[in-house]
Amino acid sequence: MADRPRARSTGVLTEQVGDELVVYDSVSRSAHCLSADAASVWSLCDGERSPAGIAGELGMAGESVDTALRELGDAGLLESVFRQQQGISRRDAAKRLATIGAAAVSAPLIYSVVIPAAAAAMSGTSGPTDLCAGKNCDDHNACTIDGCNPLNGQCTHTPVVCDDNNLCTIDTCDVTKGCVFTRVANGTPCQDGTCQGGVCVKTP
Amino acid sequence: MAFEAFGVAAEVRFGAAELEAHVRAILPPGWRACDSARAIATFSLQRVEVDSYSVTINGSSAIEHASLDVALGLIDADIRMLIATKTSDWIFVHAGVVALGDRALVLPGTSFSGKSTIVRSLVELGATYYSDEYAVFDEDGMVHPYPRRLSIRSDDGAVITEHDVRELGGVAGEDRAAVGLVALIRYRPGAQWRPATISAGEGTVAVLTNTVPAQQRPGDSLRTVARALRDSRVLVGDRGEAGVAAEALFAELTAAGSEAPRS
Repeated sequence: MADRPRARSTGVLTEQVGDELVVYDSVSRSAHCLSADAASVWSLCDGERSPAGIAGELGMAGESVDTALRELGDAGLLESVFRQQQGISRRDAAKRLATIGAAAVSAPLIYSVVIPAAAAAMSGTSGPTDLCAGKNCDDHNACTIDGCNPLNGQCTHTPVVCDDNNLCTIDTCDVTKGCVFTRVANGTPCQDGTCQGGVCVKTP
Repeated sequence: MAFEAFGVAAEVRFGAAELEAHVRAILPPGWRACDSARAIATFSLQRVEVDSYSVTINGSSAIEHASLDVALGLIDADIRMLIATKTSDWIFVHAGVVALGDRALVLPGTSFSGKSTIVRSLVELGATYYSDEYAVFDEDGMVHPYPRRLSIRSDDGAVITEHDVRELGGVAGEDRAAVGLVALIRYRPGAQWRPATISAGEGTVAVLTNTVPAQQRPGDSLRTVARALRDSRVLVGDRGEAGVAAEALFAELTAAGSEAPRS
């Protein structure tokens, strides 16, 4: 059912770390740390329970469950039917993760990163024609992803795309802090209703 | 010369006998001789003319007419990459590591993040040197020494010199250690060291971005990193001058060692 979220069961590996759950997604090659609340919600996403049912079962506020579901969808951890209902496709989520790169995606319940390929995680060892060894490409700008093309030794500074797919935040980039997502005023109209606490709440 | 380290065997061939000492100097920590039939990669270093060398890797030309330092640097880098990516028994994380007693401080980070500088400062404070390149974890999440020569960059980052840790008055670790502290540090000129503490789960995710086989062996990587961080604090912050952050981290690691249950 489209309104009953189902957790992805394929292509994901999990590891409990204290009361958090770390998830590796082999499709988007990203890793996520789910807070205890987000992990609890995810564990009940069986395609049978509604968000309200999950909230009732966990004793959580409906808005909190909605937030968790939105972030789970954003992270690509729900089956596509429900994610698309939330307005976030897997492609969008992957694109968002890819553009932000290894920087953390600001989120209260889920912390996500993209896992780089092996060579990218190495120190100055991009291969036999590495012309970047010994080169410092840091432009001290948190709004760019600094890299180096090993084929020509040229530094690259790819602009960070600060888009949290949330109509209730203003997305900007601070050169020292990186992406900043500022909540709009409560009551600001959004797609399905009005913004409350940085979240679009449906108007009855 | 065929060698094996961390379960990965390779061979380095060289045309002139006087090159042997140079080749030995770049072999990975803990290497031992093995049968060349086991080698999964072959590097060949040949002198073309005076101070001009070529390198082939598995028969393909990698560089020609290079200085000896550049040629050796290329082989060194490729051997490190080979071991980190091909080993099946270990998880290599790109990080600097020092220890006090049996508690280690792990400093994950990519190139140019200033790991070596912090590691050097910590060694000068009395920490035991494990690595400025890799945190090497076993399946229990314990970190092992990988004490290659410490790389020190010049202030402008253009020149790298390598030093035996003993030249800096330090000692290299010999035993495995439990991770007591993880610090995710970004260098920002003028920044004051005011780290925040993040959860072990968040730390696990962050360390995975520096884990060499995270994509190739995600299950092993995830399990190992989670085990490594299970009893550790994880700090994240910007640093300016290395010495200030190093002193604070040294104190944190000392505290972590005194609070941790001894195994």
